[in-house]
Amino acid sequence: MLENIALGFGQLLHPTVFIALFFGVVVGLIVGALPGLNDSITMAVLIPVTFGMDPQIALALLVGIYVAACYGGSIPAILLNIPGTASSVVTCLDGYKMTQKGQSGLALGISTTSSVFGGLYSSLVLMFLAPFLAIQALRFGPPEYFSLAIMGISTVVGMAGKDLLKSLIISVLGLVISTIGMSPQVGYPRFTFGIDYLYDGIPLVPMLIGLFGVTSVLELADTIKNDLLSKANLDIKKIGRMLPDKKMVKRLLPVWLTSGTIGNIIGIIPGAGMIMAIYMAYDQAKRRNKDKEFGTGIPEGVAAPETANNAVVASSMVPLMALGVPGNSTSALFIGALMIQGMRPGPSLFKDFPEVAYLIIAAFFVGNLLMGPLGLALGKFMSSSILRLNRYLLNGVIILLCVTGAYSVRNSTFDVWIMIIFGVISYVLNKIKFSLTPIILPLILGPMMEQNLQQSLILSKGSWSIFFTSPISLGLLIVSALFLLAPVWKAIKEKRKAKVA
Amino acid sequence: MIVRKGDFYFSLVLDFLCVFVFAMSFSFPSEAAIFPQISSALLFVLSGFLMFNSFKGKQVAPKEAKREKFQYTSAVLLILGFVAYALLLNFLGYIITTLALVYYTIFVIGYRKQKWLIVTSIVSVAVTYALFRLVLGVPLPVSFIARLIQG
Repeated sequence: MLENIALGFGQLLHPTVFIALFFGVVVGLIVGALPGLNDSITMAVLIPVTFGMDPQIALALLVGIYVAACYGGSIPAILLNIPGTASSVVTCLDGYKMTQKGQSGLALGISTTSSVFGGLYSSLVLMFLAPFLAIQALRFGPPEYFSLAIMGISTVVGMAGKDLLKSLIISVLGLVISTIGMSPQVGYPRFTFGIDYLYDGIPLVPMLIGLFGVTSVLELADTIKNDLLSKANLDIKKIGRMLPDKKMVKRLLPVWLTSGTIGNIIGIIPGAGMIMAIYMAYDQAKRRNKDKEFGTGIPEGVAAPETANNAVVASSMVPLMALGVPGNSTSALFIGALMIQGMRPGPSLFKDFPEVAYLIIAAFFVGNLLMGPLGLALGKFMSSSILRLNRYLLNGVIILLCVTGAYSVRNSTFDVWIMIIFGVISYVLNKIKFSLTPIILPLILGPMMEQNLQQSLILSKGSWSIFFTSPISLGLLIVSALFLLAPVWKAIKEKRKAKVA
Repeated sequence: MIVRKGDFYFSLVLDFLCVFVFAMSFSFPSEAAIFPQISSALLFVLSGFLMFNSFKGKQVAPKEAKREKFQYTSAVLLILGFVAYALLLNFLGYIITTLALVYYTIFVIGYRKQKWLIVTSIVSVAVTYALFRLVLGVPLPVSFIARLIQG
């Protein structure tokens, strides 16, 4: 095995392959940082172009994009409160608050180091454990997937803190909204009212842009009336130091390890998705740091999702490389990229084309290393140019990026409407102390839950016991129950304490 | 007595939504109806708890409520601007409508230095257009005049 790994790294020494990887990382960072664009869109556009390239060059380019786009999304999330990609949605919660405190440099530094850590961690998993882990992931059938989705949603509810009921309501509202579009089992259009654009459900990226970008601009209008803007302006322009010091690294190390492990596990399970990983990682970080108020600009709140999403990147290649089953939609594009070069992903790839298989693995490792300095440079450039803008003018730029990003997803004005609608709803709900953030994961997991619920019930001939007879499913449900009951238990304890006092 | 009016009205909206979803799902095939029915029924129950809770707690001081009403003017103006933008985007094209939107947003927020307002609007839209349209090939909408010229 070590010989093959050396073969993979050896090929990266070829200047054109290395330049392709470098270029891919740069492109990935840029498209990730632009709202509305992401790795999937860029790779889908580039795959036909790679037809004429050497397989090594083509794959190095695509790996570079995949590795960096996920991190790139955190830059506008931290600086502007607009998630560049869906995977950086949780980063907004604490990242933007750090910017408001004048710690944008540190937030970007933590995001970069966390992303590199998560990426390297999952690259090592891909390098050494791919075949073993891929077989474990195949133990997941419909009941296990259903229970996994329940666990994902329960982490969101657990994140709620004191407002458990409100968080639960918004999560279930997400499930209701997820039924818009074609039903996953029979392909019947539901609540689409004849609008073709709704057949795929509510588009995620325009919705996220609305929830974060539009809402923040609308809320700024209130801030001006309160004359708080001048006060907010004092700190926001500060960039501060970027790289975390030794003390901070020591503080973040447990978060990196936990979030990296969560990202790896979720990434390996086909279809589980990056969003689930970032929510779970954030939730775990919050539970392990009970003394810190998450959502107010806590470094752990940036480190957890950023480690997890980059850990998902390489680990999503584990089932693809070992079994030919893609871990997510982006890694599925690699099937196209490999097939266009006359190769088939799966166990035969390691046997027939070891130089390509191990090049991909090595490229993930080196791509993550390249992402560190390049990401810091882009982050510094963007923060120095964006944050120096007058706060009023900056909001004009934010709304410009919002509308352009939302439109670019499907080149459709309909998505601009979605952005506006969700932005306004979120703004109104914020006024009555409801946060729409918990809606995101249930909205994504809804179709997965529905499909696997129905498949499970078909398998069990209508018996719900199937979810309790499978050990994995039962385990996941027990963990979900614990996640859900923990805040309730905490609330009861606090009430008792208050009564005693 | 309703204490938290926001919670109360939101729970009412949710109840209407749940009834609508539940009722409409009966027109779907049974496989497509189960999930909307389960989720809307669950939401209905939770919304009931929210409504119940909205009657508990302390009354908000009327002075504070009055002050909050005043704050909404700029936000409403901005929302109207966004709606107008979405309506006009395909008709007037990306460049004109987006230029107007950026200018309008900054103006409504309260910035009044015309020189910088115009410079920021033009430069930011030009850079974004160049990046998305020319570099990345995103087909941003063109105005009806441009469409007429292009035939």
